[in-house]
Amino acid sequence: MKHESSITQASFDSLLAWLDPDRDRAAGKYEQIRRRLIRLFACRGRHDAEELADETINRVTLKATDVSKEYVGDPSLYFYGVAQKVFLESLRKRPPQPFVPQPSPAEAEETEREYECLERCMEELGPASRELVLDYYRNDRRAKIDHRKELAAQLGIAQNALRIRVHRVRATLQECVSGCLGQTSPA
Amino acid sequence: MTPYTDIQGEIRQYLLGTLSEDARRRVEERLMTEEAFLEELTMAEGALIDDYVGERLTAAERSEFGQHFLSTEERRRQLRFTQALGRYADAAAGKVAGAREPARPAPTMGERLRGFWGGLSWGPRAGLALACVAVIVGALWLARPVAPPTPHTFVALTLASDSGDRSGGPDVPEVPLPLGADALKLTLTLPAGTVPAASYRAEMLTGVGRTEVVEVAGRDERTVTVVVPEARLARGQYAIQLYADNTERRVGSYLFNVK
Repeated sequence: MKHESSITQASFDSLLAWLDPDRDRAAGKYEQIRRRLIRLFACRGRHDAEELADETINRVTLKATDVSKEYVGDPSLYFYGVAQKVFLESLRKRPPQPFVPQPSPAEAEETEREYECLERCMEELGPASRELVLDYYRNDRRAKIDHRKELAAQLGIAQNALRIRVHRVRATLQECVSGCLGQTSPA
Repeated sequence: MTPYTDIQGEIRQYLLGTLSEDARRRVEERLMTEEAFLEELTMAEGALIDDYVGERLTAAERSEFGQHFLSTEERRRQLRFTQALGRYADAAAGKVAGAREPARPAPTMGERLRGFWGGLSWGPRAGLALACVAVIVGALWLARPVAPPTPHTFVALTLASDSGDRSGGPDVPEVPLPLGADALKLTLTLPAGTVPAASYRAEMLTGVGRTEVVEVAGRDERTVTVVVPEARLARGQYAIQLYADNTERRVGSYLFNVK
């Protein structure tokens, strides 16, 4: 990207200083903004979400020295404004193509490896977490919604609390599976 | 974490790409500025995928899910993970149910039944036994699974195994919907040099990442025939994975499109 060659250490330092006077906290905010931008572009249907997020950050970095002196308010919203422009330009340059899944033997193999990793990772979960996940994800086609209400009632918690609990266990599992897949990927 | 229960519906619409411009901007501004919102959005993504896999979305939502939500590799990975979780949970439920089947009521109930039975004379015993048999047979008859209608007409298609170097171009056979027949009959040509198996298992991968078992209708030394009812087909791309002898030994992968 041609912007990258114009970004200097000084402009990057200005950006971080604008985000927070403390450099470590500023780095954390930078990462947070980048994650949110990626999610924003993904939610707008862009498969090149990371590229567009980086483009947004690069443009803001180039202007950080001047903008930081005059801009009032949360810098995240300034990034958001630039992201809107980046998004509109991307529509003109690369119109979004609806994703057309192409099932392939390689993907089927990957699915099976993922299942094997999941089996291993489930064994590493504590019994309570394992039971929670098994109960939550079993596919009771006769009562698709009710069994989760029942599960929340059995645990004595609200459905939203159940959702949050399962989300956290699931995140742990996904991390474990990703690690397992990375270790067992074919050469 | 603050539960955003008041706007979960709006977040779902945002994920499916169906919000108005103004509403979308409000959601995105919160995404950019509120610390807990990103995790709420992540949870909403997971819940949406859960509902898709559990077949709880409306037809319109399923369409938006496929066309808009699955735009990134990360989300497709999430979908595969959720499907794997569902498979695992169902398999575990099956194993637990099997383990529980031999269990019997507490001995005191059996003793009571034996005591009751033993107290009857021959006549009432015979009558009660006949009545029980009649009730059981009747219940079994009413509870019998209703088999789907047997297809009588077919659209036939012969497929060769995909070599793995798939460009997704015009070489992939296409079938139109509606078929104009009850089912699609696919003749899968075994790759050259394949040792014929005693039996085969076929799984169909659909365009949105679902895996379904399909019926193997016949086989010979060079081909295996599978039947897919028209009701199970929708527009998209499909792959039939053929396995030998109920093992994980994959014999071939056969691609076709439905348009």
